[in-house]
Amino acid sequence: MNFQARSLVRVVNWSALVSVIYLAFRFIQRATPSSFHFQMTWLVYVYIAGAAIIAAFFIPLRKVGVRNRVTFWVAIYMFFAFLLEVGGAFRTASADAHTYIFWYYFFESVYLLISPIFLVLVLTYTDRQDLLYRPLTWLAIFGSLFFILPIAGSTDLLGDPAHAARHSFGYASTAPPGSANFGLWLWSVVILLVGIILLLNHYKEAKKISSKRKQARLFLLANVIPVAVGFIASAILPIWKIEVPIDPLLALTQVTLISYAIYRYRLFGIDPTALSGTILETVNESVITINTNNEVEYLNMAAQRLLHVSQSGAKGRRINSLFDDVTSAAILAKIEAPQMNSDAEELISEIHGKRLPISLAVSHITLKGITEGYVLVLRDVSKEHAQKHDIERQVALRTSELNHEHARLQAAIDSLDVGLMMTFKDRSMVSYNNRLPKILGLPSAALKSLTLESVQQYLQASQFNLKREITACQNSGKPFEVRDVAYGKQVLRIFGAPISLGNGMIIGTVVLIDDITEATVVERSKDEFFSIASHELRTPLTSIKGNTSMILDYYKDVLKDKALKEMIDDVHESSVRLINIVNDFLDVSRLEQSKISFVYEPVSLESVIEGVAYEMKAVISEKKVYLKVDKPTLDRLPKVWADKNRLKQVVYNLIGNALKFTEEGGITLTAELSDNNMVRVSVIDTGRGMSEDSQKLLFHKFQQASSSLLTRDTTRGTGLGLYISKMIVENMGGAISLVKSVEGVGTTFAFTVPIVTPHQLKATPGAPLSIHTDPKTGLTITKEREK
Amino acid sequence: MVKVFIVEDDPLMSRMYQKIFTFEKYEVDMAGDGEEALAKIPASKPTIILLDVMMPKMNGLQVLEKLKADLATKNIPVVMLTNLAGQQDAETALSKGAVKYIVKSEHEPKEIADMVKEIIAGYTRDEIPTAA
Repeated sequence: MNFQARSLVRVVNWSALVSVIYLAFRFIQRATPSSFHFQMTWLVYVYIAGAAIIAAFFIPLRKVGVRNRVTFWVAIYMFFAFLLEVGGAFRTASADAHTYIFWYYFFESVYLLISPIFLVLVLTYTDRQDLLYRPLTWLAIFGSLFFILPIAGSTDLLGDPAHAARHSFGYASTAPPGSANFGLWLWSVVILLVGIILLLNHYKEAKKISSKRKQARLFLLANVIPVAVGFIASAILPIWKIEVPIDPLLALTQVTLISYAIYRYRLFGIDPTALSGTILETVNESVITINTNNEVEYLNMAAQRLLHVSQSGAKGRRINSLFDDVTSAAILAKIEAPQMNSDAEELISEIHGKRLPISLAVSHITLKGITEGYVLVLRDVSKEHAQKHDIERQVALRTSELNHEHARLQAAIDSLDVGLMMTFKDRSMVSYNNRLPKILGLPSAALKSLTLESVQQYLQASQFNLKREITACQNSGKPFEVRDVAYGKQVLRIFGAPISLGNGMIIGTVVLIDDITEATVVERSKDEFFSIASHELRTPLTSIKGNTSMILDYYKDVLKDKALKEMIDDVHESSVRLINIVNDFLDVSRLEQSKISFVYEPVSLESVIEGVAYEMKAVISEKKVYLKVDKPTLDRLPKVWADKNRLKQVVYNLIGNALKFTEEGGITLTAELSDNNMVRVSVIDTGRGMSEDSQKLLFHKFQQASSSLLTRDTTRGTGLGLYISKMIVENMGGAISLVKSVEGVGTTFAFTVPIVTPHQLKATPGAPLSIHTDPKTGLTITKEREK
Repeated sequence: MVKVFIVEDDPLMSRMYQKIFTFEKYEVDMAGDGEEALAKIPASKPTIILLDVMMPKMNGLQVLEKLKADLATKNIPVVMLTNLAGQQDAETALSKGAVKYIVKSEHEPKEIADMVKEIIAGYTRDEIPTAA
């Protein structure tokens, strides 16, 4: 709405007020003592009663206690209705024409005003006040009045008062019957019809709120009744010269209905503005409304707290007096901005000497296109700033920690001497360290997008399916290790393990690829050297042993010299010991390289143990110790699934060891069924026993159960016996252990060996190959001593 | 007289076996390698053959196969001489007709002579060689 239109509305408003004042002034001027010359009739009392009732309706209106535009206009309307009743009473009571004419004027003036007032009330009620600001509305109201009145012609208000008096006091009227009030009536009907249209619209809009609808219905009724009844009374009945003084009743009906509507539904309280006002009070944001002169109209509680001012203290002050320059400038910039609602802007505002970060948003309040004021919404965002700052710091901290962690991890895996690769379930690209491409000899071009697929292609030549291993690993969650993967001229060892989260979910794998070419070569040559050396040693040793033994056997008469015989004896003894050492070394080397094939067959433990016992008889009796074998138990035991000769070697070793450390008492051999379909053989001696420290060293390679290298008993052999026994027993699926050892009391060793299963028994076709083997081939130290 | 034929490439060993069998009153004939053995054996007609497994030119297993394939020699009992590492081959030899194998380093010469004596005794008792 532009400035001109607004000015026009003001002009119309002012002119309306001026005309009302003028009319009032005219009445007072005319109100001489002669204007109060009355005679009472029954109709007078009706009017007085109506006035009293209308006056009484002020009480419920007050009780409702809502003061807004609607109640204001209801009050105004009721006052005029009251005046109408009063005017009617005086007019009816007039005793002479003079008095009558005065009160006639009064009554008709009020009647003239009451319709526009009622229209304003309806407009306010239906929230269409904007129409009041339209010059067209006023033009229509007054324009129609001036247009209609001439049609009414000779009648009433603008006609000759004398003529009106004649009408009442018996003078013949020139106007046709029924035309007396017609013009004025028609005018008010037009106005009321506008009200009806407005109310009907409002009624439709108010559908959602049933009480509002009911109220609107009553308002509508209050509008329709005067129109309908007035039409009958003023336009139809006069045709038959029936004049019903219905006016006071109609005004009364209207007032009654409206008052009832207000009192019954109290809905003027739900004025959207009033309602939002309550909400505004409770919100945390500071809300300030200012008018177009930038003067404060309203501040909510939060705004009052923020600015340390009260509503009354701030109202009417210019907005820039409440804020510092920066904030004021920002507010004014937003007010002048063409857009109605600007985005919230953050700025630092100085409020009562404190610098606060606030966010500021401004909206224009418009009524039908005209800006009526502005709503400022301010929010203290210092807390949010602090939080944001805190979060930012945390994020920075975590990011830095993560970077550190990443750097540490990267450094760790890069410094590894093995190639490392990580695969992930959710992507094909792999992560790897510096060493990986070097080991696999990957060209740098391939590194840009290294995937498991491409790595697999490189490994293709080695017949190794890394992809399959990885898939299996991810499915089973178990690590894998593949040794001796030939990759070109290299030998690789590949180890993989799943990357699993705490909840057991597997997200990928870590693969370690180690170049063990050199290690393999070294190990292989070491083994070969060891094996060849042992073999090459054996031939000359066998020759020394054989020849000395032949000298001792066939040249007894030549060896008369005792010292010479002793020397030959020692040479023979040395060669025997050397061969045993070489044998032990060879056994270890071949067991470790799995070069000994075990010939499995059902073996009777009894025959093995009896055989060993038989062969050791001589040595045992020489030493004056006993060897007890629990024969009845052995007889009852089932056969075991083993390599007979190897089993014998173990028994030899254990008895031989026991014998070595036993000077008094003897050795007991027992056997029993144990768990898991095993037979358990125990070798119990009454020897010197071992200290706890010595016990820890048992079963280790080259470890004689002796505390120091210097004090080790070189006459007792290599100390490989238990290590060899352990490997043999474990190879056969059993276990060997020290059961107990007490110094000075004795030692018990035991080993287990699996019982032959029916399936194995069935699968053994007749006699196995090794049945031909001479039992004596399982040679041990003890056996050598037989000689 | 019982004749022992020793096939052994290492002179240290062959001399040692020659001595023990001489001491034990056997007639001894010898060959230093497989080819020589195959050349000499048909003419020598030994009672028993001691055959080393690992030899140059032709190894013991090949010699054994030839001996067992030749009608003239197939009935002569063969005892394999071996070292520990050749045990596997020696066992193969058993399936090819050898009567026994002896791990050289594990037995004194006298023990070997006794074993040979036992085998010969068995053969002379039955007169029928069971090999092959």
